[in-house]
Amino acid sequence: MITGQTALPYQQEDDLWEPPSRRLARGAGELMVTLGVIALLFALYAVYGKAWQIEAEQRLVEERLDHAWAAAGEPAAPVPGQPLARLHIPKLDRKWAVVEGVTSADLSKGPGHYPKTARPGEIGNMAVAGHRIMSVFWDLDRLKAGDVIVAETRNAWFVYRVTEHREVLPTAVEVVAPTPNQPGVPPERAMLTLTTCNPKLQNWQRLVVFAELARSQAKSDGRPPELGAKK
Amino acid sequence: MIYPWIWAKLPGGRFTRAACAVLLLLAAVGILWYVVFPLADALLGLDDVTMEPSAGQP
Repeated sequence: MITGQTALPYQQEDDLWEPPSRRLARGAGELMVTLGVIALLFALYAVYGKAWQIEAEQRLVEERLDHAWAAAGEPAAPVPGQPLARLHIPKLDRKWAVVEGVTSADLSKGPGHYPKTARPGEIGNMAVAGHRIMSVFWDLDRLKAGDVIVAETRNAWFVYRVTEHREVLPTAVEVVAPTPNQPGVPPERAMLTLTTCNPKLQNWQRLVVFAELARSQAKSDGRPPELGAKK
Repeated sequence: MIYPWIWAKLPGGRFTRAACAVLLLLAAVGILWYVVFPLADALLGLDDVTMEPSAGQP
């Protein structure tokens, strides 16, 4: 600060006048602050916004699944974009209606079933993909060997137990092969494979959880005890 | 210098200007949240979850 000097003429005439360099710096500052706020907002969208949107879609899909089960019975083949089963993970206190298909439109409704992979309980590999966000597969890494995943269809419960989880590159399509990791080998066991992105909020790996069918029970025999007491 | 310029363009007194500014802000956030961010998210593919032969290639 310069003291003991008389103010220059332009400073007296107009308080708003600034040298051009200062105007430029101020404009650049504004621009950067604006971009920073937009980036923060995008982070909020990625973490919370998408989770809320999927939760809203899930409610609709769950309703549609209940209606479908109450009305016509199971269709011969899953219809793309429509729910085909429900998936429960009691350890994470979560359940979802799983839709058929893994396009981004399908996955915006919740977990998606890879087309042409096994259906719940079938011999083969039922492969399901889901976003790594709070309302879907966020905590999938907490599943350890022996943890329960239950697939629910119109007529039956299928209780799977986790056998392993691993991180792979996105190109490792063999994890969704009928016999996981052994493409071309005819399946002998009923497997369930969940895939999501890894690390959280990044996309250079996939987190894969394998589970094998432990037992099944008809809906008429009530809820499987593995699900816990609460509805 | 964008914001003072917008402020100067807004009509009315201090109160109406503030109300208009809030409306403009909400509109901007709405467009970002519902239009721009979903597009950006799809483009960035930060949450790709499927296994595919072509994915992950640089």
